[in-house]
Parts: sequence; structure tokens; C-alpha cells
Amino acid sequence: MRAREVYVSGFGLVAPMALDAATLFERICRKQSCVREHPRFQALGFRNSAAGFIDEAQWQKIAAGFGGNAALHPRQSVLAEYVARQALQHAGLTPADFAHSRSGLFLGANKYCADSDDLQRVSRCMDDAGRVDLDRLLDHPAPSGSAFVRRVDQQTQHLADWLGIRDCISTHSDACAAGTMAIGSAFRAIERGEVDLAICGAVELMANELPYYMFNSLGALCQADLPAGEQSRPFMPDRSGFVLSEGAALVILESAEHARRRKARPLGRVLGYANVCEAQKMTSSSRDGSKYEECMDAAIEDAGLLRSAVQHVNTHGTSTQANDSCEALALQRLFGECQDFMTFTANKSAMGHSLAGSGAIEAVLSLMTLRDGVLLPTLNYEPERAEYPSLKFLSEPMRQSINVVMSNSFGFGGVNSSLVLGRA
Amino acid sequence: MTSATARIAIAGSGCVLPTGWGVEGFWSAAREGRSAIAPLQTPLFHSERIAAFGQINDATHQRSRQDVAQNLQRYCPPAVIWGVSAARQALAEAGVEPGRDGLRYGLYCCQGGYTHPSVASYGELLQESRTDNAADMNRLARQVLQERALDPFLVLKSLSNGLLGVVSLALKLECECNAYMQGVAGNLAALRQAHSALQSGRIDVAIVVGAGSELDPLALAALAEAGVIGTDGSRQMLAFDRKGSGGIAGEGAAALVLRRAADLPPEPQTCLTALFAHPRLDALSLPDKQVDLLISSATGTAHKDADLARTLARTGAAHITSSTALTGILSGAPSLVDLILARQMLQAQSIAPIAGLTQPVDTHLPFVSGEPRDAVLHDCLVINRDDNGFSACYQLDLQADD
Repeated sequence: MRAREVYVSGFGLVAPMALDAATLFERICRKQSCVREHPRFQALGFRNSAAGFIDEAQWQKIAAGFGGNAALHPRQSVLAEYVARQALQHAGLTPADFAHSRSGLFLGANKYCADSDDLQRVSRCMDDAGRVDLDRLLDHPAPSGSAFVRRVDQQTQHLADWLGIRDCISTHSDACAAGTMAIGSAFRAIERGEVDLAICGAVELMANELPYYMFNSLGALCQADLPAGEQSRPFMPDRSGFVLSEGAALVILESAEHARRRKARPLGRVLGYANVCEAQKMTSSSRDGSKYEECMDAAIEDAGLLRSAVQHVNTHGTSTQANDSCEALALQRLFGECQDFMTFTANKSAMGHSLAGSGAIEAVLSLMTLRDGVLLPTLNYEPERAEYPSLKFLSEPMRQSINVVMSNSFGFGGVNSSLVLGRA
Repeated sequence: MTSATARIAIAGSGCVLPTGWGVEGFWSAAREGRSAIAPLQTPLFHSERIAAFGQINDATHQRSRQDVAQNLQRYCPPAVIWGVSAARQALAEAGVEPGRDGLRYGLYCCQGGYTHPSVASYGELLQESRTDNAADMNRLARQVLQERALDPFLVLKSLSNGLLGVVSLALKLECECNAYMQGVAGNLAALRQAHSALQSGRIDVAIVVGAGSELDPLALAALAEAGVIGTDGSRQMLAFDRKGSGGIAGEGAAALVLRRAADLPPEPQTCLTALFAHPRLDALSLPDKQVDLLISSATGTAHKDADLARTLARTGAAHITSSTALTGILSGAPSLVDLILARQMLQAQSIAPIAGLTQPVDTHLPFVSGEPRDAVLHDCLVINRDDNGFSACYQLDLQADD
């Protein structure tokens, strides 16, 4: 047993078509995709406008739940506070509990992109040679009510200020692994006794056209001629890329002692964590899966468990050829004969890939699986056509009580992370 | 010793700044009070109102490129190249070689960059998509999606952890890692994680790298709209000076190698002894003990620097200086640069003046101006404030050879 056990005592979540964790979990159980045609992408004439996105009806509800005038704050701050309020309520905490504890904030987010409106604004200030008249641009500022609207850590600053958190404050920007690495960093900080209470996870708003252009130009996005909800097909032989998405999830972690002292009911435990840069390639891992395997193995070792203790894996499963292949081989290498007693899921089949957000959202879904004893199906998965039949991805939800789940996130830049989560 | 009390020393440092390539050039400029802020020169845009910038010159950039393999440069915006170069400098000074010395490494990076991708990456497309007075965004979409007109590596150049990815590839570092974004907050998080990993005993060497640039019309416009940089055409940034009319942005990279002091040879070491942070400067924890030296970031705007000076007065520091007027306001490595400066001053027992300071915003505070000042220096505070208010304080001391 660790010197300081780390409990999960609450979580909050917003995903495309889901304003809370229970709604998302239920949607996936019913095999309802959260991916649909993005009206902005349609208006720009994209041949494939599939995306997971938070729509205006959701934004109105999120803004209504904000403590101040939402129009004066960047959207990422408004969303972060909305999700944080859910998590605090779930954990039975108030902002004052953070201000009066040794607390920390660990929040994943990647850079915010410019969008078409920004580019159009710049283009109006270009001369014939393409040189921008910056003074003219200054005379036509962006129509936003808030400063620092695209500052990547603005939501972190907002939450830290709202909750009165000092010292342990970080914006994790580890690409697709950032959400998992934020939770893992919070786990380590509590385990080492640096803080007793932490709020951690990710907020990512990437479902706009410039990220789409960039990922598509690299060949990473699905361009299959399929209905929107069928495009994300992790681990299927006909997978052809990921579906861009967005979302946020925050988790409350606290030391066992802190939880006992305030008589909090634990929802789960963080048992182990590993994060490594693998120095192979910028966009893919070792083809044989050995680097992903090393990361997962290190997390299991950190948890003080045997591989056979892991009963379920929430895979990174992006639906790209290379990533899924590396992860599948890594899982086969690591778990060997243990696979017969394990199940696997790939939540991006339902939600798309919200980059930093995905690791945090998948951690929440994993905790719900542990708590409720319900294993989530992988949408668009057909076992009879499986490329990796030894990995038992479920095509239907299944009731089964389990004790240990591993959740993986692997990012561009060669950053890998794995969390080991346990039942309370 | 691997405990929460293990002292963490700066074993090596490196930088690529407007003052040039390397710590020596930066230290010389600091001692001479010679600002590297210069008239803004770029083929991308022009401005009368934002007329100066702390810019990396071409010779410095070309020197930095020598430190990055050709096949990696396709993934690199300029700031990432500077970051790799700064990291190599720091490793060389620390005398460590990843992969060859049996030590366990950790890599902690911070990138600055207010907007991405840079407008430059869309420049030609915007020109080609122009109609009478603005670009046709549907046409641009067609060009990108159907004619494959965009650099396929743009997404890698735009990654928030691109610096971490390229540094790890360049140094063949397979190790614990974390990437953070933006300014003081990002530097604080990277340093805190590195400090903690060393104290926990998980690693033996921490490489902390920061790099960034805001040399982009959208980024500079955003900084101007937020009041971070001035728009009066000023070509000089005056820190803590009553004539200060606004900030000037800068670019560059810095790197530190941190180690447990107990693992280093028995000679004087500059140790990072405490780190504090708060989303608001006025609530930032400060040590209750007076320090010999304080290095503070500045805004370049007189009334804001006067407000800042009131917080600095709480430290009771014997001497106060600032590096901001040397480089401009940095988005990637502000705290790392100040920690390098602190180490130089503690080792030299000499304080660099605030470049250009003639009329301090507070005449009661011991701002250092004019010539470098020799002094007995045992400890130092660095106080940095981000443009959104996030603030950090670092405490350093010079550990004598005992």
C-alpha cells in the first residue's frame, strides 16, 4: 500500500451532446454517437463535416450556469467553471474548501487556434504583396468582450482565482495526452504530500476549421464516405482517421486521509501512473508497440500490481491506422494470455477525439465503469471483422463488476501516458 | 538524498535571446545595461504603432540551427530551434550526456505563443483567396482540403508540445516528461514539476526548457488590445521608469539543467529553494525574510510598474533589478531567463542595472541603475507576473562550499 492513497471523490463533464457525465455514459451504452455534421464546416463547404462539437444550445446552458457575466470571459473559462461546479457538487465541496486546504489545479489544454474570422480580418489588412498593415488591424479589433480570449491558460487562471488555489497550478499542454497527464500529475502531487486536494482534468475547444485543416493536411482525419456517426472506427480494419471533437472533464482527487477527515465517500482510486517521452517520431510510436507497452507496464508497476490485475482497458483508440495498430500490438505484448480475461473499450468511437479533453473524459467514463459495473461498448465495432480478435472490444454494453481499469493516452510529439484506476 | 528537503541546484544554463546566442552574451548585455530591443523588421507586416521588438537576429538563428538535425527542422518553428540550442548549451555546462551517463532524466518544457498557427503559414493562401477586400474562406477551404495547399507538417509546427517532442528527439531522451504552455505560469509549472521529480528521487537530472515568439500580427494585436504592449511607436521599453509608456514584446528561449546539490561536486551552487504562485500578484506568498537581491519582471507602463513596485517593497530587498528591458516581454521563458540572470549575479557578486532606467517609479526602492553594482549576495528572489495577472516567486540562494 502507498504511503498516501489517492481517492476520487467527484467529477464533472461536458461533451458533445452531453452536459454531464451520466448523459454521456448513457448515450454510449445506447450506442448513440455524439458525432454529427458541424454547421460551420458545412457552411465552409467541407466535403466531410463530421465532428463532435458543443452546440449553441449547450453553450447557452453552460453560460447560464456561470457565476458571472459569461460574455466577459473566454469560452474556455466559462466551460471550465461549469464543469468544475459539477465536480465540486459531486464531491460535496465548496470553493472555500480549496482555498483553506493545501490544494492544486492541474488542467490540460492545448493552444487555441485562430479561426476563419481572424484570417479574414487579417486578409482585409493585407497589401498586394501579402504584407499585413498591423496598424489597420489594430483599428479593427476582434469582436470579443474579453481580453486574452485565446490565451491557452486563461481557464486555469480563472479556476485558480475562483477556487483560491495557490502554488500548485499548471496548464498541461501535452497534445492528446494532456488530460491524462494532468490527472497523473495531480495524483503524484497528492501521493508525495505536496497537496491534499486537487482538481484536475482538461478543457479543450478544438472543433474549429483551422485544426481541421492542419490535421487533415497531415492525413490524420477520417475522410471516409460514411455517415458522421460511423466515421470513428477504432481498431477496425477499415478505420481511416480520427474525428475532431471537443469537451471537458474535471476530477476531484484527495488524499485518503483528507477524504476520511471530511467523511467523503470515495468514488474510485488512482492506483498508478506513468508518463514518458519515447523519442521515436513526432507522429507515431514504435511500430511493434514496444514504447506504448513500456508506458503501460510502468504504470502497472507504479500501482504495485501484476498485469493480470488489470481487467479492462480504456484505450486511446483514435481510429487512425498507425496509432491503433501500435496500441493493439502493445496490448497484446503486455497482456499476453491475460487478454482472455480482459475487456477493452474505445470511447472515441462515440465522441470523436477531443485531444487533451479525451484523456480526462475517458478517465471519468472509466471511473463510472468501476463504480457502476457497466462496461462500455465500442461503437462501429464488428467482432466478426476484428483485426485484433484477441482484444475483446464489446459491441454491446455489459454488466460486470471489475476492480482495476487502465486508461491510455498517447500524443503527437511522442508523449505517452497511462493511468491505473481502481474501485473505491 | 531524495527527500522533500533535498536542495536543488542549477547545474547548467543556456539561452538564445535578442542579446545573442548564449549566456555570456546575455550577461554582458545585462551588465552593460544594453537593451537588445530594436526596430521591428519582418517581411510579414509593418506598423508605425508597434515599432520595436526584442528580436532574434539571423546570425543567432543560424547559429542555433547548427544544433538541430536537418530532418528535425521541418517540424520546427524558429522558437523550437532556439529551445533545442538552449538545452544543448545547458547540458554542456552541466557536463551531462543523456543516454551515456547512466543518469535518469526528466524533460519539462514550456512554450509561448499567443495564437497559432502563425498568419505566415496562411499568407499565400489568403492572398490567393482574396476577392475585392477580404479572403473568400470557402475558396481557402477548397484549396486546403482539395488541393492540399497547406504544409502537411503545420500541425506539428503548431503543437503545444512541439518543443518537448523535438528536444526529446534531438537528445534521444526517453524519460519522464511534461509540456506546459505560456509565460510565467508555464515556466512555474515546469520548474515545480522538475523540482518535485528531483526531490522525489524519480530522476537525477531535470532539463527545463522554455521557448516562444509572438512575432505574428494576430498575436501582437491581441497583446496590444489587452494593453500588454504599447501602441505609441516607442522604440525603447522603460522598466520601472516614470517615462515608461508601454511594454514591448520579445522572443527567445532559455534552458536550465537542475540537479540535487548533493549529487554535484563540493563547490558553491546556486540553489532553487522555494517556488510560490498565485493567480493574483497582490496575494502572492513572499518569504518573510529580507533578501539581498530581487529580480522582477516589469510591464514598461509607468503606472502599472508603480503598482508592481508596491508589492516589491514588501520583500525588503536590498537591491532590485529587472531583465525585461533587455529582451522585451517574453512568452516562452520569462522566469527561466530571470533565473539565469540571478545565478550569474550570485556567482559574480555583482548586480546588473535596469537598462535605461533614469526616473524610478518609486525613489524609495533600491532600483539599480547606471553601472553594475558589486555587493555581497547570499540570496535572491525572482518575481514574475504574467499579462493576465498570474504571478510567481522563486527563491534562490548561493550555497557555499562546505
